[in-house]
Amino acid sequence: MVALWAMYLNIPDKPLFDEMEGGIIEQYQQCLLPLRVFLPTMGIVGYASDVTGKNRKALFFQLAQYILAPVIIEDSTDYEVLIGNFTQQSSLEEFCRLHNVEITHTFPNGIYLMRNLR
Amino acid sequence: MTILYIFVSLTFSWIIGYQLISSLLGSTCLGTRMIRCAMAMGNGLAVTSIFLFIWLLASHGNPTFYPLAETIFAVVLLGIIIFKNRQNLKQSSNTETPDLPLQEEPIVRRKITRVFWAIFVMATTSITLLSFSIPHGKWDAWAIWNLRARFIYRAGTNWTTAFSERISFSHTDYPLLLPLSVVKGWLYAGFETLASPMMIGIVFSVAILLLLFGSVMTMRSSLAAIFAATTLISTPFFLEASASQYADIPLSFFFLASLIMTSLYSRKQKPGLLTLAGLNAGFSAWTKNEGLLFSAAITIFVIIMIVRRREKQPPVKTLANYIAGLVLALLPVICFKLLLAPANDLVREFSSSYLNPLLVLDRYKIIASYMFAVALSFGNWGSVFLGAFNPLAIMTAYALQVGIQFRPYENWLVPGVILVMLGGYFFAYLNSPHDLEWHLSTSCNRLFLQLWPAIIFAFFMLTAENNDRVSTQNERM
Repeated sequence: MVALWAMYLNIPDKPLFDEMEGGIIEQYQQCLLPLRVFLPTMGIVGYASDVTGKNRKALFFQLAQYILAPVIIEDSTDYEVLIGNFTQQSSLEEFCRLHNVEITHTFPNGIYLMRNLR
Repeated sequence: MTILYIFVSLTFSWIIGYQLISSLLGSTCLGTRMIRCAMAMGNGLAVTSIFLFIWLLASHGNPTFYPLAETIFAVVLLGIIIFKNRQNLKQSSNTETPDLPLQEEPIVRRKITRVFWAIFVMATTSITLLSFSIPHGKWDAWAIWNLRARFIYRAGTNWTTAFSERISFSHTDYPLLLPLSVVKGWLYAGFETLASPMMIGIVFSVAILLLLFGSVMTMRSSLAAIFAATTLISTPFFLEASASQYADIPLSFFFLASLIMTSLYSRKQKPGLLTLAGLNAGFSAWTKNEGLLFSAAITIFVIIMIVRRREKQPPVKTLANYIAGLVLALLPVICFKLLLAPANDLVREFSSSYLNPLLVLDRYKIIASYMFAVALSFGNWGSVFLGAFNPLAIMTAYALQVGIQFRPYENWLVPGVILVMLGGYFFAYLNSPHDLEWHLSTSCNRLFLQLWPAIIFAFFMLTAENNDRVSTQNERM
């Protein structure tokens, strides 16, 4: 009876594929997948983001790596090609100005492909 | 259709595993059909992941023909199994006599087994439904295991980039059983599908359930076995972790399998059992780094057991069976660590730190109190009626009812290994270069989960055998 009750409580009451983590991954995957066409098949690209919060920042960075593997993504602006994840237009503009970076492609949900001009 | 490809991939693993188990156990009732089937599943996946690892090393990352090669191998093995079974049927003298006489009358056993199968189906359904709600698995699953699988599958000849230090957040030094098993499913399907990691998570969890029930039924009674099985599946965190695609579930399978084989050996001295114990200890190291600690711990206890038993043959000869299995399974781990894996983050950062954390007494207190609290709550039992269904109370009541009886070897070996493991985890936290509270809060419950099936097994092995039988008879009345 205990086992049955525990199992009953564990059956999700939300629709399938709608759980928080799975939902974010699917959503983010749809945003990042178009980027693959413009990225090299192998190698390293940089990453920049204005997402705040240690866990949230790590989540989006690691998700980008998960979706775009086998390209290695490094949280650095030292590379020629950069992936940007910006929630605020103002912080994007400031970043581009500070790091001498130009936007080459814009994707939905604040995803950008950028080129380092330095 | 996708699920069919994954099913075929898993079936071939199972056939290979079944042949391995059968060849080591021979025709003995020690491994009942339930134990054999469960062992075959876990061991088969471990063996085929090692095959794929060797294939990738030899072919410089080109796995195109791997599914074909494995299919031929599995079909040949299946032919051998069918041929042997037919031969056995022809030989009337080949009637198997149980090495361990089962205690109850078959009718009671049959009834309890039926209840178990009903619970088994419901547990599988529950885990499957949960898996659908987190198809990529939880954070660690996609950021470590599934990410590694994607690197290996997508990078082709550059598959070793999966172990680049630049993606150190993904713990690139972790062994490859899980990622390669996922990749194997994708190779059979011909494309990446979430069904592969989901199915592997489900299969390992149900294999643990089968193994636990089968072993306690073989060594104690069917009543104790149904208590053990329900204790496990009444653990919400076990169900959740099974669907989360964490490596802790496969790891707990190999811990349990190795301990069961050792316990069976203490009852019936069959060399194949020791080889299987060694193999499964090695496979645990091929699953996760904690497996290395387990391999060391169980090896020490097996040596003590063999030396103390004073068998007819020299201890070294008996130990050779265990070592053979262990070394065979550890070879790919050694190969991986030497050739591909970067240094472990705990080891690397600890060696570069200048303050010895062993000397900070506060850390001992924090870790001990945290581990004690987690020991009573890691199963998330609190989520069900404020913890009213915590199985610790049920287990204690059962033990008081049937009594506790210590037996040589099997009752000190399994708890001994578990205690050493806990001590090892304590030491690892003590040396942790990370923020201690963060490290404890993100991993401690999973460390307990790794040991949970083994703890349940150890607990029911402590219960008295005779009283157990009586309680079963009372149940019938």
